[in-house]
Amino acid sequence: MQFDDYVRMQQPALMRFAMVLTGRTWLAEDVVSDVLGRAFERWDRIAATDQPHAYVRRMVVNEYLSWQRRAKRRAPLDDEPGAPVPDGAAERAERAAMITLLDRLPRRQRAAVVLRYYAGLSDEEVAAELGCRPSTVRSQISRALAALRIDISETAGTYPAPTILEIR
Amino acid sequence: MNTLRDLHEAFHELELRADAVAAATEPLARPSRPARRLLAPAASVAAVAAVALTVAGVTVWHDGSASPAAGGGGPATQPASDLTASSGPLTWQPPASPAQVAATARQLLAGLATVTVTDTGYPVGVTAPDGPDSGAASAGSGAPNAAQPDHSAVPQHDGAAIVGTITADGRRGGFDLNVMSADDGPVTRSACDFHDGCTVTAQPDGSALVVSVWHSPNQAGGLTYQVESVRPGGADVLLHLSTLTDPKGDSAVNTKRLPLTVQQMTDFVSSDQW
Repeated sequence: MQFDDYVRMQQPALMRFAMVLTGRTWLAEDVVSDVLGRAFERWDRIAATDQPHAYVRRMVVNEYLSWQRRAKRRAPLDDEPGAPVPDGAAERAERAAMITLLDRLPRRQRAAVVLRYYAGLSDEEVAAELGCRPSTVRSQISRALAALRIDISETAGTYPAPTILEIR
Repeated sequence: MNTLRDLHEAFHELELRADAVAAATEPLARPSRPARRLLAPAASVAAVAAVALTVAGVTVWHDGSASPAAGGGGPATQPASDLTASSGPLTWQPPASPAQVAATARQLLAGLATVTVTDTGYPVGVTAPDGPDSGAASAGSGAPNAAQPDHSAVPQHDGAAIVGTITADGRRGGFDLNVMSADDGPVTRSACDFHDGCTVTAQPDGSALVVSVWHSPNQAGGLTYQVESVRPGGADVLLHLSTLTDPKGDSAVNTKRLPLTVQQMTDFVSSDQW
């Protein structure tokens, strides 16, 4: 697959993933920007892997978690977390509240939750992505769900299927 | 009490925001692959035209016209671009732990400043796979295996980091310090954490020095420097030092002046002891 084909096919999914991960459009754009810039420079090798998109997605997670990026600037005032999209949905305030709770999570906890419940990865796969052990992932997700005030027992089996991010 | 459905609805809301951004972005032309340039004298580098790689709404600068550091006090070296800091086999080994980084930092600043560590961790790097036939795990932390992702393997750390405060002459500034393996390839202005004022300069020992500065728009007197040395042997030593309590964003201003000068920060990251 050529790089421009990859960007055309996967950039929207990558941007959505980055947005869910970071919660801020400017940061999602920034992360995707840097990652695609680096992926472009080494695309021959990335394209030769079994799952180029999984590789690039991991680059996005790593970029989000990187210590360098944590020193970056404050979000623009019009992109504060919890600012709802004007779509008129009745539950807008509740979603905004949940997004605010997500934003308060430590980055690794948020990454674990997003990889588990958005990307649909197993604990072992999340552990591989984050460079820790599955038991650590389970602990992080447990703490994150508590912080998000989510009672998993109330909704087990009723939530939507994870978003499919892999398009080979 | 919330449910997982609430979480997924929040995810969906964020997806909608991402789509709104994408809808506002014009389709962009395919970028041309830039040739990597070797370390070159600054005089010849000055003639290099700036190349902007625009990738899906994203601009990555390979710019030969590094702007002088803002705020004064920056190194008087001539800017260069696309500095190749890694020219041979990598022999440098990253520190095994944040404690090792803290010990070296304290040793280097002994008699000059005191280092208080409040947090530790591991910088996260990304390394492309060696090639399609590689069966070994990639060197970078979190990098997938080239041939087949091995989700059971826990990636090795590629360095260590500490966070805290540096105090000298009553001035206490927040800092974070990352000591990690450098990426392959040239050091460009994409290494600049702050683009308002950034220089990327070639050093006599073949390393590249990145100095950038950031003035907080929200905190008067909020100033953060990035001083980073990328070595031929593969070491990347990155220091952020701030007048703010926390260099990772806006927080209270601790001091009017940084506890270290830019030259002292440069000497610190350039030390052979890393």
